[in-house]
Amino acid sequence: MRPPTVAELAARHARSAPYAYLDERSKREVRRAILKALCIPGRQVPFASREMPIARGWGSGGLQVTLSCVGPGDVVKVIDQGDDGSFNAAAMRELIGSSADARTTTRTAEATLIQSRHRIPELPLRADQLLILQLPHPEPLRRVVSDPRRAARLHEAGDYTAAWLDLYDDEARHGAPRSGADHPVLVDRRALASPSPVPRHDVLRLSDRPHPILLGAGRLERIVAIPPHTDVRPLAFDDRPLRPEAFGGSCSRCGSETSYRVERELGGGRWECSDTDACAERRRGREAPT
Amino acid sequence: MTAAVARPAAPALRAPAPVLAVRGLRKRYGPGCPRCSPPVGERCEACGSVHAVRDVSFEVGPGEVLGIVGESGSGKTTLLRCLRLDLDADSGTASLEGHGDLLRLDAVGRRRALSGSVAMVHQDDVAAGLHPQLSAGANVAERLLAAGEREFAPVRERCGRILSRMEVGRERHDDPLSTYSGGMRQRTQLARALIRPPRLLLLDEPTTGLDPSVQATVLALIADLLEEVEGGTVLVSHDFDVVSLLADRVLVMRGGAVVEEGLTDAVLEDPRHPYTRLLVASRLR
Amino acid sequence: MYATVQASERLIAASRSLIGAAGAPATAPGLELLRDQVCAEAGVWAPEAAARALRQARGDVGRAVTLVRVWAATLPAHAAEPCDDASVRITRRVSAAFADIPGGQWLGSSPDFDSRLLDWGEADESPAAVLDGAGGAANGDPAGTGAPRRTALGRVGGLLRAAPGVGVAEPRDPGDGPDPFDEPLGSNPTREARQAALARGETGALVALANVALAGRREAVAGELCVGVAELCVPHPRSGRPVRVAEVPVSEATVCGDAEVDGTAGFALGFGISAGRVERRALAAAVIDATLEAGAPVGGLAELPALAAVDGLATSGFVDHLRLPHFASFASYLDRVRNPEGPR
Repeated sequence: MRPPTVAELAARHARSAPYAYLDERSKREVRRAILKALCIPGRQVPFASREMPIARGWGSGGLQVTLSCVGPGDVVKVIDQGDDGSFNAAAMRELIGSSADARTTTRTAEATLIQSRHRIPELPLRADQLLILQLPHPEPLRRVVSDPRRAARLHEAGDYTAAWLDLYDDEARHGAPRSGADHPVLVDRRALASPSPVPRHDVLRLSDRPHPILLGAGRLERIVAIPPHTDVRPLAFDDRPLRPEAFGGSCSRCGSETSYRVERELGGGRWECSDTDACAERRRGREAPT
Repeated sequence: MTAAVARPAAPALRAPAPVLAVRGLRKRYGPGCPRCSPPVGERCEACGSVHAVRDVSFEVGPGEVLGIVGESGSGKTTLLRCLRLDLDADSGTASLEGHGDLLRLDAVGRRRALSGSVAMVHQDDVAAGLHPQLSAGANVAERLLAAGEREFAPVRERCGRILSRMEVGRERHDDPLSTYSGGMRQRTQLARALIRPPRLLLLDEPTTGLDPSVQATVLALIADLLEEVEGGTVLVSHDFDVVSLLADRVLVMRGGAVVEEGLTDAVLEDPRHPYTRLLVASRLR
Repeated sequence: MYATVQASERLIAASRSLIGAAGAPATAPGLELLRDQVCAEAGVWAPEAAARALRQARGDVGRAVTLVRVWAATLPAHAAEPCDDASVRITRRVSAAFADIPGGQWLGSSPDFDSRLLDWGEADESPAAVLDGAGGAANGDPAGTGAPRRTALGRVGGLLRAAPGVGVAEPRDPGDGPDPFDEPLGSNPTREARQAALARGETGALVALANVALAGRREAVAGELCVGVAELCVPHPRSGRPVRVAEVPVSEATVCGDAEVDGTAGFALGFGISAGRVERRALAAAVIDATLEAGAPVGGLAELPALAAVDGLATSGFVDHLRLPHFASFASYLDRVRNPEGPR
């Protein structure tokens, strides 16, 4: 079935506002950046970020990517640190769903398009699903190279000595890198990128996925893309692999011992899955590989 | 002005190809003008330009240490800055074995040369490319990491060994460089420069600014290390003593030009140019 | 921002109604936050004066702040009693670090629920309603919800300090800080002097510096953001007993930033506080404090230049001074340009 044309969509939903909130020119700008980014995996592609009804720094980049990709046949899921119910996630889901005339869901398995802040869904995604991450700091060299132009030249030359040096210093002095979330990754063994502030548990699950991953930075106006089946590995010495987080207990709701869990209260001893949908699936006893 | 005096070169039968060959290097500060050719040590009357380096040529062979000595304003520092690509020379060539003309490399070529074949020790840490906020060990590791070493333990072991050899105690290897004394920083620079044998080692006033007691030990250390360097070394100093201890041959510079060159011992024992005589005579003994 | 705030309609309606409860019609909420900002930057809690200054300055915040400050300097000053935590009534308290904190999270009137779309609907535009809307009263005690006093809630910073295996950078010695308007900062300001300078900092500068500081941090999370109403007491001139003279809304924030503690990864706790309810001020001040406590520069600036950059009265004044005639000094430089030193 042929997808609807823009004119048909406009006529059908008959509103003065453009389809999916952004005007066509803005969407085109974002789409071009996405296509370019897919051709150069892991590299930052600039784009002119538009003002969104959510603040910069709150996911406006991810939202623009979503709005430029969404169609009326899509089923949209939005999560915030794994949680569908967060107010910010709900507001964005509502905006996307209503402006794009698309269905929304909290069930990962049903979604065709998932926008997420700071987590990768625990349920392995399929090739027909699209993952969009909110990216606050697109520049992985920001802490070691203060001049953005110099950082751009180093990316061009593939010279990441500064990042390796910083890692070496941490390993030598502390025995491990000091990053928590947002540990830099090498995409396609060539480009150093920020995977967005996902925990290390998730950084280790980015490689060789059957679906594309798009990362949008609205405040700093960059898009990064990882095409399907791309090698993504954390910046780490061969003999010092990245260690994922440790947990102090199984999930108090579903019992999982392999999901990414957070402690509800410091020292309280109660751990819960951060991915609420995956946790709910397990509770329902349905197949949800952990 | 007395013409430059060159001694006959020592007979070189089947001399090996030089590591570094500098030809006609010139550097001028100022706008320049058609009539620009002031006498040595003076500015051009028309445009006020200073000719910091005037048509300097020399070669450095493998394993050889070339000393460049002169007072401030002699152009020796400018010359070194051109060689380490900190300044753009106006004309001339500087061919480095394996890299072609250093002065005409593009950005990628420069990075390759500076992180691989060219190493430097400088009295100013930051000019030498050091990172004061990182540990000494990390600073030493930089050239290994730049060369693509990706195993932590072997790199750490090598850095530890060479730093210890430079007489920096193991317990301090992980301290930030900013906590090191001047002498220890120079040792770190040496370790960093020599951890991968460089084709060209540039030493810029390596002991200036150190306490006299420390100078002696660092100098002795450098003397030892230089014997093992297979590439070429260029040593710049205002101090004839340092040059006489470390260099095989010496260039004496004044006002941007080379006024005398030859084997160090020969020049010291029997300086020909009046300026050289002045320098030699004014050494404190 | 708050992953635990569930999008319940009832909650949102309750939060929005708190704005109305402040005494102004919901369609014309007034400019009470702008008034709060002027008071905070002037270092004087005097909402009526701030409203008047804003009108007189035709909306120029910098000028309004100067007007209020200058007026306050003419008034006799009485030392107030240190504000007692036990007297502070919470109107809002949230944490982005933990879902559950001792004392609980209290949503209050969250600025996040305000729409970011410009509303072209009917609004009450009479100047009086606009500026005086919320009067001098604080933003409504959510009466009936049993909102606690500050002391009952504990502090997230204390939690981290007490947690085993967690290193927190020791703050410099606490003490009584000077009023930055009375005493110069000096070359080595105490933490309290820094706090006082940040508390009166110019909002834009605080936010700008916090942004550049955040770019260089590995981690910075709002451990706690607390908005409440503090009671200000002065000793009675005769009896000496403390008498409540004002209720001042206060925003405070604790930011947990990354720091190296005893050679390993740990936390530096930054504290930010501001009069009024512009929460961004307290958050930005806390980020700057956390950065300084971790020993890092703020956007490349050391502590003193950073604090100088947030001194709004000084910075605005200096930029404005460019309008003054510079004829003589300019001519001197022009001479330099036209007549360079000739060759010797």
